[in-house]
Amino acid sequence: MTTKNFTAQQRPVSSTNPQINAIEGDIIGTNSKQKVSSKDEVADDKSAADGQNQAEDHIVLSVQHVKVASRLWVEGISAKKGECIHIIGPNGAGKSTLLLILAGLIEADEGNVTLLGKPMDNWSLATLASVRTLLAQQSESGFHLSVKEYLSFYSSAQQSVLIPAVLEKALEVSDFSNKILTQLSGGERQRVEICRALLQIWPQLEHGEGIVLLDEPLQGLDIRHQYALASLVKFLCKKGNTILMTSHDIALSANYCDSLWLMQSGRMVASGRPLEVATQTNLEKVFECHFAISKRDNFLEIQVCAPISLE
Amino acid sequence: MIRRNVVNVVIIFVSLALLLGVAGIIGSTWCSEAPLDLKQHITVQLQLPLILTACLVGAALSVSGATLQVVLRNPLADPGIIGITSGASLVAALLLLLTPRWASAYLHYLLPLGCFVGALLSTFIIYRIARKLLGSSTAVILAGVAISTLSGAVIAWLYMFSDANALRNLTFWLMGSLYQTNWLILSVGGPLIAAAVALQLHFAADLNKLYAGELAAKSSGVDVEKLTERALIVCAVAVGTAVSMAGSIAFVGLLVPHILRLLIGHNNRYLLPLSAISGASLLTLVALSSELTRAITLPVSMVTATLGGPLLIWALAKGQIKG
Repeated sequence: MTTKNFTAQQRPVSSTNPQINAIEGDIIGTNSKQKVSSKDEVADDKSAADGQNQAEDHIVLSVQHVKVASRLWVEGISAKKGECIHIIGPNGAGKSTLLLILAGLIEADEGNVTLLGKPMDNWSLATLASVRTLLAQQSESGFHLSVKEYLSFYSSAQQSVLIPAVLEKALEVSDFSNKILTQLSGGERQRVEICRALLQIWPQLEHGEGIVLLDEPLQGLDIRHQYALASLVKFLCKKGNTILMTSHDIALSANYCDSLWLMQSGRMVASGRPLEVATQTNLEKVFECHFAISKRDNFLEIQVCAPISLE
Repeated sequence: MIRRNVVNVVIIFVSLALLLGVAGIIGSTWCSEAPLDLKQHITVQLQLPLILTACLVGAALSVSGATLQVVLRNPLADPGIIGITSGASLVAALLLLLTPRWASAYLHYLLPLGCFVGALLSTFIIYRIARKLLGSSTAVILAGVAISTLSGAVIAWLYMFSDANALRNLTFWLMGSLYQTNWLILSVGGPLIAAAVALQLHFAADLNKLYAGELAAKSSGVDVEKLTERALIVCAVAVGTAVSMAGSIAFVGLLVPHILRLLIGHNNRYLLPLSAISGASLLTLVALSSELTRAITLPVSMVTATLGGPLLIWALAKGQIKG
């Protein structure tokens, strides 16, 4: 019997970098505030995050009755401005397909996708590129170009510094900015890719008007950078940006998102506040293994026991 | 990042090489004791076309090589390797060996036209096969290799059934020659190549985004399918024209961009224009070397491959070890 304990990873790991601690402390502060208020109305919960946009229609992205071959069938779900959404589900649940649909890079067979109140069909690739960005799962490049040069192709022209301070604090890519892309380790490469994706719409992100879709950004990252990234995502959402990311770390996701979407075989099983979605029944049904869930110090502790019996 | 100083040094060096080539070729006539009108005739009717051909062909091959490498996400891509040249070569071989005697007077113009059609046709076939296969960049290269092999086989068969004179012509054509053109051919080929090269420079910013892969490029606003299609067509036009003017010239498309990337980095806004000038000056120097050894006409491919082989090995070794 194997037991994987996620609680050890729960709290931000004490890091040697005071700057990262500063961001994390900040985020955790708001996180726990939201957890305390989570008994109240959802609207209250959100008002802290995007108070300045009260008057506007909050929904930036929505899908209605979307169907993609046999891979995806989503009745209707939407993302509000400033919301931090984590999408979890087993392999092949349709998480990546959903992100591609939301990014406007593949077309749905049926249904409507709306971005900022406008149907996805009315968006051109060029205008889409200036409001949303996507981190897809790894693609290999055979060219020996340096990290710095690679990132410079994606950053917008009006930027004075290549890597903004906040990104550098969380991703720490400057150390290997002169290295050749193909010689980085998997995790380093992933940090560069995340940086690249965020740089694409950095001016929008600074104004709190960006939409970010990240497909398994935690893949390959060491534990410190996993939590730094989760903090960065929360930080950007607090500014008003909308971020959706897929993840396989249920414990991390449950504690770092505003809204948790649970998917299984192309369908949305549950969505809403993590406390309501990451329930024992839901998780056991979807992931087909036993979970032990408890709430402690404003954190959800999620443990998985005996995932698959090999006997 | 772009090292501006290095870019400047490379520009100066390459321009000097170009100047040296041009001065050498024209100077070789004007320093001789020939009468003035003969000198003028040689310069205008022989040497200027030679220089222009060298510049146009060099620029077309180098820029197309650089573009193809990025579009196909394969540093090994080259107009020769992916089969654009082979279609042109096949048509050239058919024309040289099978043209009836009465039509041979028109061969001088028939050949470039046929090569151009051949290059476009083989690109079209390669692209169709690639789309049927996977639609991926690897598929384009595989289809290109298949077409190259096939046309190589057909040319080999033609060898067996042709007479000695035609054979010699074909061998020379296959190894490339810068002396095939005249002002008429240049006035058609020149604008074609200039337009194709200009279009490729226009793609440079979008090509930069392709380094991160298809999805990332698409998410940053580049219509990858459209870009690939257009780049392939434009490259086929450039290479087709180059091949019809000077025969098949090996290596330039692979060599020039590779060495430039080592020196100035991967930014296509700099790489493509510099590839154009470098290719132009490289072939001008080759033209100069064959002017200086006037007793024997050197096949261009022979010179470029002799120069290029060791340089390419050096570039590959440096690229793999560096960093």
